[in-house]
Amino acid sequence: MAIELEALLKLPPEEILVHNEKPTAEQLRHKQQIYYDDVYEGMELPKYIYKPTPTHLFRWSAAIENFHRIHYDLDFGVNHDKNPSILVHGSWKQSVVPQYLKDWSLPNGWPWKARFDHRAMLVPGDILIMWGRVTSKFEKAGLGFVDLDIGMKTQDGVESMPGNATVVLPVRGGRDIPYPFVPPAD
Amino acid sequence: MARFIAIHNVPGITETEFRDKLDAVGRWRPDRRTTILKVYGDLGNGRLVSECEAVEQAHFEDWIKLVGWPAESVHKVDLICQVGNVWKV
Repeated sequence: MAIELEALLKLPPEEILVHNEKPTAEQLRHKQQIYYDDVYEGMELPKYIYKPTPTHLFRWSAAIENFHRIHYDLDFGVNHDKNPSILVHGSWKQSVVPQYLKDWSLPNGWPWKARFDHRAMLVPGDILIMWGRVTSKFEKAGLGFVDLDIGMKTQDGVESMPGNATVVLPVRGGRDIPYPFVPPAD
Repeated sequence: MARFIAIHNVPGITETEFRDKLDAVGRWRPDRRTTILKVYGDLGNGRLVSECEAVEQAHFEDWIKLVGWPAESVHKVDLICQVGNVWKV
């Protein structure tokens, strides 16, 4: 059941995990379109919750062929680089954002823009909450543009990836979003 | 950043109490620059050794107060050997 981000952050860490709203592949195949008309300022997107382990970090390093030792060599990370542990990859965090926006806009929306900063170091044991919140919306050329604040917070409320995004959603009864998307002329 | 160890005297400490004090990231990483890297426990004798990476000793001492394990002594660490790797810290 959906819970607001502020309320989620007040829960004990292990209870936060219970509220993961990341859909399965099967759920995404049958997802109902969210329309521009359904969206309102302040609306929160579903929250995706992760708890990375050293095994996840090793697997991501191998998958992207990034062999920087800070991500899998605890001895080196702690004693040479003085990091608090092995570190969650920025590239992995980066990969979550387009997936998150794509999932929300499926099947016919278009995640158009995203920008974010990498801030805090994240370690195995951290619980990470990918969140989004609608900040404004406007209609142009028969398409619905929705601006979002996005981020990835830890169980302690630390914002590790502040950012924003724009997603294009169809207007109910309106035209399809062209594929590939070309923004309307100003 | 600097490395410190402390020797604690905590008679009667149990495994449950030990785990409760350390089992979440927020407990072993009390702020963004202080990390409790390791704690060794001789629970039978109530003796613990903790290892901390912090900007200064005072931050480690803050954690020691927070966790409630009185430290008999705190030492600055210059050199570590871990599984044959030697690090100057």
